Amino acid sequence: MNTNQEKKQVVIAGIGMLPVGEHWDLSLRTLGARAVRKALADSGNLKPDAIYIGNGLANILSHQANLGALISDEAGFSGIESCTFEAAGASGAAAFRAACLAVQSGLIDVAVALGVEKITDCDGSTALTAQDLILNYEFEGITGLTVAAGAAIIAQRYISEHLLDHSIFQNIALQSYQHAQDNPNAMYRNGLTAAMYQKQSIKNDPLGLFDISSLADGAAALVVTREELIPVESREEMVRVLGSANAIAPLSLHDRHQLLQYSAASQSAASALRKAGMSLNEVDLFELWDANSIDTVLSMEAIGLALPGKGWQTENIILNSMGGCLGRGNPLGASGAYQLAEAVLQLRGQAGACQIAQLPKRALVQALGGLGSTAITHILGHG
Amino acid sequence: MEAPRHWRLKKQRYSLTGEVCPHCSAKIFPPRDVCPECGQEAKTAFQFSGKGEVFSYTTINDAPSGYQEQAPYAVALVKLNEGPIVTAQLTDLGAEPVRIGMPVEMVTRRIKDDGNERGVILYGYKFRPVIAGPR
Ligand SMILES: [Zn+2]
Repeated sequence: MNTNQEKKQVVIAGIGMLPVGEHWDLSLRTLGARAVRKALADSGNLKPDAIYIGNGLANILSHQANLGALISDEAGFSGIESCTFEAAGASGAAAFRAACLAVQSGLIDVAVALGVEKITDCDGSTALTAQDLILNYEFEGITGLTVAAGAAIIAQRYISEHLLDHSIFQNIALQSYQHAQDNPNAMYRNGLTAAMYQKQSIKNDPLGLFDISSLADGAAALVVTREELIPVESREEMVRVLGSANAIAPLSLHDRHQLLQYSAASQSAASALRKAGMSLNEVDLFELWDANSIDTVLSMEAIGLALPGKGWQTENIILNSMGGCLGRGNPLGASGAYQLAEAVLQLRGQAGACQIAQLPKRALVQALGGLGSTAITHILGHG
Repeated sequence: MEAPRHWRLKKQRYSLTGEVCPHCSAKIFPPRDVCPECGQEAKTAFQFSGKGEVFSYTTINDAPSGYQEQAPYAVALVKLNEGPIVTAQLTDLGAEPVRIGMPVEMVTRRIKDDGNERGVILYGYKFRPVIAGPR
């Protein structure tokens, strides 16, 4: 196992995000290229050697593969290395990890990780059906299961085993919508009251409308390079990538030994912390996955932030400070990149009205793909 | 129409044929090359009884295309008596509310309309409540 002996420090030199929402007027390539250019501008116009793209659904929703050539050329970088990474909801995080590995290897000096998703080129039911690709088609999708229903099946078992009821999910939703109010890139900025939450329609028992994130268009990018390539006077303020890890678990819910244990989330968080040489109590800020609120509950327990049956009690940590997937909106393959860019804003002290009171030093950012079957964790911070 | 795929899966879908691991005796469904319990090769066919109980479930109101005619419907994780869990729709529920622990048994039903002009219909396993009384 690697320990914290990686000599070549990866730093995040720039970030760029577009508002999450319904960009009827922008195509996939324009969304992606604009986020790349924004991130490069933020880095002081570094020149990229590679652009790694996280995307989940363009093959279906935009009838488009080969995004490396499409988007990188659109951004003005014909001639460089570029290709796509797909890991369902964790696609953006997978592209970021690839960018980190590339610059750390020394073979690439400047890499851009882009997460991009174009949802609204098709009607909503087509987008949801496309999202169901992340299930096991032959033995889950074929039964008529959907992603939200899969989450609901996990939630139903959770509530039953721990003798709880669906009200445990309320605080996660209220908190996310509250945080999103102050995030200019968030889709839902009008807040959510307990009364509204309690009157919500139950989509997939026990999960309701506000427990399930909305798919939307979005693009976010991060520029990474090695510390040695940054002028000495700028190094101090740079956010560093202290740890990175990807782990998988059985894709199908029925193949999991313990339905209520997100083992990939547990393993990737532990591995990333070990690489950072840190313990959990040194983390000031958490960005955890909340495509469905049960994801957050089980991530809390998997990472070690809560005991089994208590993962819905999130009051003691700073969680999803800019709204998460529930409040910001969920541009599937881009959401992992948004999580990372949002954590960078907090660590830089640039999160505006979302800025947490005491400037955080270290953040744990975890993206999940496919109901916890893929988990990619990054530890970001100032040295 | 995905004829080769449906042909390949028909034993599993029509008769719940899985495997038993020759090394550790674990029962496996759906069949796979590597036993998830012991990591060794698994190849021996095993016929499941089709009896089990509901491990968890939900109701689907917004069904994906090909399933809309059936909505609303319940999908469950069914824990088979032999051990493995399968994902399946519940059917023939009548007025009985679904509950975790409810005994169920496999039946063969229409799974999906292919939705194309050839009107191909796909059949496979669903589970229904076991009628109360002596068995
Ligand atoms: Zn075995």
